[in-house]
Amino acid sequence: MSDRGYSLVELLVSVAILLVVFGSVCQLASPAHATALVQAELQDMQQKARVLADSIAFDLRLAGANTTTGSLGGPLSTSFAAILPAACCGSMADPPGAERSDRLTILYTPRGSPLAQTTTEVAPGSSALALAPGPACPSAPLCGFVNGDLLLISDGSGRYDVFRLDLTSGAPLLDIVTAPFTTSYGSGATVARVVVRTYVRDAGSDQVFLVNGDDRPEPLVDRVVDLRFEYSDGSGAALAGRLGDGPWTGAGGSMYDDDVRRVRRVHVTYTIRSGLRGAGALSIADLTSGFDVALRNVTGGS
Amino acid sequence: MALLAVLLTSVLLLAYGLATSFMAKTELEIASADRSGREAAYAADGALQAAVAELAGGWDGVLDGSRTSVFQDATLSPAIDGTGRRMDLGARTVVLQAASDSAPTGTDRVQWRLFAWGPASMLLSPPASVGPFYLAVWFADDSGDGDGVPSADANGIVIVHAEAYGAGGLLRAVECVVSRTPTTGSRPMLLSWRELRPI
Repeated sequence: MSDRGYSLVELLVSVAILLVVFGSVCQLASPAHATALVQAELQDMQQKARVLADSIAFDLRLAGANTTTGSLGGPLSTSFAAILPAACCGSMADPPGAERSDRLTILYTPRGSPLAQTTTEVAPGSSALALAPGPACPSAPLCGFVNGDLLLISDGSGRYDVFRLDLTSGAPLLDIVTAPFTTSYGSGATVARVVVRTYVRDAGSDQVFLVNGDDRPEPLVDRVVDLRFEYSDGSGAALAGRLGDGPWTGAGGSMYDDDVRRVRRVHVTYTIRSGLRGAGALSIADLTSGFDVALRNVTGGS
Repeated sequence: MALLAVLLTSVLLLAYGLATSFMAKTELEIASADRSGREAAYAADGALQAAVAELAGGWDGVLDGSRTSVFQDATLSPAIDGTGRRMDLGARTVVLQAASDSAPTGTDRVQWRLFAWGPASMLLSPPASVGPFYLAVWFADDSGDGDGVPSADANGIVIVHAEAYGAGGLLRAVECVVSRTPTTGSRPMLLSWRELRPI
């Protein structure tokens, strides 16, 4: 180098060497970058799988659980079906008696719900509710039920309906969720709070929605490209195709196939797809998994 | 120039390495907590089933405290993990009671009574196959009993509540309702079972 500074040739050579060096550095860093992206994506897929499996398994174990109140207790499954192979209520409801392998509705009473009995007939169109005082009815006249409570009425014959309690007019009115309401319940029918949880996979968005009662569907997990529910009875025999062909119990919006009450075990299969799928070298295979849940509160029969 | 390149490469690779390592550690911790939670729920259910099995001959004296379980630890404030953290089962009973009292579900008051407690290794065998959980079981008469006496059962139905505690504040609880069976000496009939989110 002289006092005149760098020559153009020297600068060009320097820039070329720098480009080669930085290019090499980027080449070295690229696999590390890809590894970091893939790790984060795998972690996200695992977390989605955990949330989906935990939520469904928790609800399935509770299917048919009755109140801890006591005297009128016992599994709900002795009165009607605690699970349904379809969406029962709300904007995503399936036709009564439908059988779908990608939808599941689970019913159970929340811990500590009052358990009351009707004193008068509840008929379609009457939509009024009168309850009898009793040991499992802590306070008259509504046994502790409050406005907006999701309640279930059943007469032990297998028929049931779900309704919301509407006290806005001052009188207890029934806002039927399992519409159309076509069944009458005589005096002595059981009324309790109920949790109705419906899992629905939307094929368009690949999202699994959770519907509480007739509330708006809430997205639970996305990128679920497959969700299937398979049912078997106490002997392990598959019940696919037999849960929507009759004979039927109930009527209107709460009608269901008699065979639904034979379900003792549910096998859940799901597939989570990576957001990096199709991204060349970063493409990650689908995560497919499954689990079985034996229905703890469903007893009797085969 | 070579030194600069090496330094630059090292810094980049170190950053990626640290990020990946941190993510892997987080994932391992989440998976471990998930597994521990499931194991604790099964342990609590085991304690529940063991306590219910003890009632095969009836539950006279259980609700008034005159009869206790064979599964009882020497202390009511046991250390439940390696950190020395202690569980106050008396205080836990108060919490359970407060939760029940705040939402009455029948004419009778639900009154919880601690029945069995101890490390899981004491209850289940072989001990080596059981996680380091501490278990406790409570009994109460159901609120729909109708006799107005929480310490006596009139309708043949009681509630059983079991909890499992583990390291890091882990708590899982299950609860069931059982009724007497007409056959003397037979196991009570399960009316309802549920896993609870921690109270």
